[in-house]
Formats: sequence, C-alpha cells, structure tokens
Amino acid sequence: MRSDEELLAEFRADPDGSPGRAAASELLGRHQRQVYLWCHRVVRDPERALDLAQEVLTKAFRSMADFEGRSRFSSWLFVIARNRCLSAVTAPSLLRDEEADPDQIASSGPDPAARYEQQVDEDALRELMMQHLDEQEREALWLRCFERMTVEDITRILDLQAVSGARALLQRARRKLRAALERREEGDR
Amino acid sequence: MRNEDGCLAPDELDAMAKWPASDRRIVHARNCPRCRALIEAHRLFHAPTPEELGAPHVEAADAALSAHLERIMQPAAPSPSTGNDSWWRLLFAPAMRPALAFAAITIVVGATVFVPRMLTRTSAPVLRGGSHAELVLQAPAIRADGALALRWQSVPQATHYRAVFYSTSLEELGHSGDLTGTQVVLMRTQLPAAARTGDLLIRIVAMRGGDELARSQAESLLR
Repeated sequence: MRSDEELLAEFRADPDGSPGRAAASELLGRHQRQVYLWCHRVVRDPERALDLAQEVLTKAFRSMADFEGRSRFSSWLFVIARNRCLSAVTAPSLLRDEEADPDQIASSGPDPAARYEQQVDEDALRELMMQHLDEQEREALWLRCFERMTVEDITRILDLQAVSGARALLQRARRKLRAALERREEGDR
Repeated sequence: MRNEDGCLAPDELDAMAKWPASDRRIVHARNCPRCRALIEAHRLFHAPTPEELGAPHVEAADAALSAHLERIMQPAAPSPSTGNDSWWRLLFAPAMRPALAFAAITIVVGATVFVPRMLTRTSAPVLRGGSHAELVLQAPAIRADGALALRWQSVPQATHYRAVFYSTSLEELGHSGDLTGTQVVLMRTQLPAAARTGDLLIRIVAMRGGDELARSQAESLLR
C-alpha cells in the first residue's frame, strides 16, 4: 500500500490529470471514516455529520495543493474537520446547558439565567469565572463552553472517575456562577 | 487560564512527540485546558473508539462519502464553445458592430448620469446577492433586551441557513452556526465579537449540505 506521502507526491505531479485525481481520491478515501466519525462526535447526528464530512473532504481536495507537509496529512485533515465542526455547532452557554445539567430542563417559568445572559457581557462572565470558581470548575466549564467538548471527553481530560463526576462539576460551576451573578445584581440595585 | 501565546498550534501536534518532557511547550500544554483539549481531540481523530467504529450508521456514511469523492474528482466538462466559432469571435463579427456601438453609448451615459448619483447617496451600503434572489431576509431588528432578531423566507430543499455579518465597509465579520428554522434570535454574546457593536450588514445564506442554494440581499442594521 502506498503511503500518504507517496499519494500526495503523485497528486502534486499531476493535480488535474487522471492519475493525480485518482491519488487524491485514494488519499481522502483512506481518511474519510475518521473525518465522518469526528464530525459525528461533535454534532451527534448522522445526517449532519455526513454533510459536514462532505464539506471537509471537498475543502481538503480543493486546498490539497496548498498543503505544505509540516504535519501528517491526516493531522492537516483533522484541523480542517475541527475548524468546520466548531463553527457548525453553537457553543453551550456558560450559564445553561441542558445536555450537561439535566436539572435545568425541569425548571419552569422565566429563566433567570437567560435574563442574566442577555444583560451580562461575556467578558464579565469570564471575570466572574476567575473570581468564583476553583481551577477544576473553571477548566470543566472552559472545555465545555469554549472548546465544545462532550461531557465524556471532559471526564477523560480531567481524569475524573465517571461522567457523573463531570456533570456534577459543571453543575456546581454553573450554580456558583449564577449565585455570583445574583449577588452582583443585588449589589447593583 | 488561557495562555494565547504559549498554546500549541495544530500543526505542532505531530512534532510534539519528539520534544523532551522539559520542553516549555510540553510543560505549558500539561497545565493548559485548551492545549489538552486539542491534544485529546487530535488523539480521538486518529484513534476512534471501537464503539464509534461499530456504530450502525458508519457503513452507510462510508458509502455516501465514497460516492461524494467520486463526484468531486470528476474533471470539469470541456466548454463546447472552443475553436474558430468561440464567443469572442462571434461578439466582434461585423454584424455585431451596431450592437457594440449601442452598448458603448449606454456605458458612457450610465457612467455620466448614474455614477455621480451613486457616489452622493447617503443611505447605508447594501451588498447585492449575486445570481440568487429568491431568499428574502426581512429587515433585521434589535429587541429591547439587545438581542438581534432575524426572519427570512424558507427556500425549498434547504437543509439549513447561515447568517453572515459584514461591516459597513463590506468586510466579512463572521457568521452564525447552522440555523434550521426561518427565524432566529441571537443574543449579543452569540454574535461574532466584531459584530456586537456598530452598524452591520446581514445576509442569510441557504445551504443544502455543503452547497449554497441561495443567498439574500444584505440588509443593513443601524445601531
């Protein structure tokens, strides 16, 4: 089996010709499953993941001539897939996250967190995170909201015992953040 | 918590395996959630779990992606208008000279009459939507709570939509995530950072998978 580098060299030798396209097709086909699974990991919907994976492969094919070889081809593909997926999903809010905080779903009536979020600047929320959360709570919330990581992946990265541990950590962090906001609002009155 | 300067670049991920444990970038990455998230994502991309690989939808996706690759690898069809009767030869044929003269006069009159008017126009600039005109975006509105409300007409076969934001100097500032309905309310914090203040131009793009189906004209939002 030819290596990724050999296929790339073949593509570069004749990018518009039949052998070059065949090499590109083999190279991208070799990694298409990784791309799809990555997209599925982020969006958790097979149909959406397929659409995104198609976009990623198309973009990779169109940009292949620009690949400079500073990393493995698969790592370059990873960067394209990651960037595309991150822009395709809405980041969970710092104050509410129904997937990670099941207790939020049960709440009824006007949601005070939503009200705060409309009023408070994201920078102010980050400042409150620094002031009121401990290191692990900050990391968990950061990974969830800014890196859009799943609760399962956060569990692994933070070396927690179980997914329930990460959920509890996220819930605690959000409760502290909401309480800090409430105190701040009372102080402003 | 986040060290922008010391964080790993994605194209360093392969090389870092060769760095000594004392390398400052390794030391930084160990304590930086952003870098750890990137490293973990890179690892998972290269080593999906057996559960992921064995999921029932993977095989169908594989087949669809192979078909997609086959499609995009097709060379573009050659243009039929090559050779002696190419379009520019037809355009400059003697029989076309009166039409060319009329076109030239129209351009001169247009440049003399309309360009000065356009230059003195005071309303906000508007981006035109190219060849697609069937997607209509209603005038964007800012709600009392500061959120941006957008509403547009649906486009048949569109799987999702995207709101694209431009500055009044027509520089693209960013876009929303994929939107599945025909209206959305975006909190200020959900807008691209550069689009949270000042006047904006907003356009909706209808997508089907990765293909653009239609785009609205850009509507201005004066704040």
